[in-house]
Amino acid sequence: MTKAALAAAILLLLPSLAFGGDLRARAHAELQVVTTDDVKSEVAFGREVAAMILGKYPLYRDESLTRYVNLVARMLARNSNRPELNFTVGVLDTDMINGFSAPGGYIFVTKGAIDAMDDEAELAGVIAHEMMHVSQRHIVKELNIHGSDLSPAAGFSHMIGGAGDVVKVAFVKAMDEAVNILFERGYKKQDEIEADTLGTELIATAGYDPEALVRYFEKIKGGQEKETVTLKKLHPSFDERIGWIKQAVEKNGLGGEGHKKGVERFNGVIRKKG
Amino acid sequence: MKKTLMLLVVLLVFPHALFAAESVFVQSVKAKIMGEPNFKSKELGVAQKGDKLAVTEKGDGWVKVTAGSVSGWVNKLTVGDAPPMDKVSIITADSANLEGKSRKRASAMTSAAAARGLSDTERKRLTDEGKANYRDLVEMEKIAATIGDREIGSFADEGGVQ
Repeated sequence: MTKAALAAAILLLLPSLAFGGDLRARAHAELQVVTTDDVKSEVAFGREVAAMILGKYPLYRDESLTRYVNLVARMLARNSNRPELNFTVGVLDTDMINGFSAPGGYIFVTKGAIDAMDDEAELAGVIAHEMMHVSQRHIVKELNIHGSDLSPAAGFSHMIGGAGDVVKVAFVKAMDEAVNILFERGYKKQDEIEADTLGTELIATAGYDPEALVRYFEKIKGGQEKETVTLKKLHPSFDERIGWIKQAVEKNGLGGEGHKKGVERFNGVIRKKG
Repeated sequence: MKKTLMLLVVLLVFPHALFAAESVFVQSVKAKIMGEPNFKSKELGVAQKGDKLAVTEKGDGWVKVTAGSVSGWVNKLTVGDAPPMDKVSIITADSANLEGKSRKRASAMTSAAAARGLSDTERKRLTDEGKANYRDLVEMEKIAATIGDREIGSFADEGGVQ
């Protein structure tokens, strides 16, 4: 018994010596354990960026429309992996067709984008795309904010939880960079692919027509140039986007019977605005 | 001797089984467990928010898990590495007016959150320069803050979505 126990003890140690370093490194790199404090910092940063988005385009003041877009977002959020976020949506008062998002769950859809939509599934598709930029922390990773533990999400706490001018300067610089990504540079192509494909998975999981974004892009790609000029500048081509969305629908088996477009409810809220 | 040998064989072949097996936790309200990494395959079960699922394989956008006697695939969008967090907010419905001549102290911010982000002075500067609009931000937050779980549930039910 004693010999068996000793043998077992030695053999238990051997793998940890051989593989433990490997396992720890992998866990450290892959496991992004995010604390409540990290999320609060993410929301605080995103809130400031949201205010700057509204500095460029004011809020379209319509309470029933604002409630409606928020209900769509909150309902989608129940099907996603950021349950701690209160996704908050505003409609921007501009004819430009576009959507924006800031860390922490702030989402914006333009009035122009909504005017070009025909149903709730298309609205859900655009909102879901922006939600995925938030969920996947695209701006966080792009800003290369790192805390002491390799987790990009923890970087916000590190950056804005401290005091002093150096920290504040870094914070304002990060805000300016975030706005630059949103309005000038655009996201990386891989991030746009992720937002389109995961956004489509999200709306399909919620029960909406998974082809909604395809329908919407087919419609607006031939539209008025001045309304889509910024959208085209900041995103890959519509044809590319339609292509990878269709691939995602096929690969994940998202199609089928029973998905909703939500035409009636959408018209009830939107069309009566005139 | 036989028992010792058996133990040695098991430990040599499965050393990783002795160490932390990877798990994921359901983040969404529910997560369907499918027979294949595809929503058109057979649905084997449904996991609930907070359920801990043991990971046996990773795919492209999917994770193979075991939950009790069920072994199947969940979509990565519905799971995460840690148990789901409660809602995190730095804003309450009673938001502050940060613009204009009569500025009130932001009672909406927690004492910890108040130390985050920009100061009131910096926000006023950005507003005066036309770079930021906190008034509209507070307006949209106020509207969103009035939406509760029950209303979201009804909205989903009425629309035939979930």
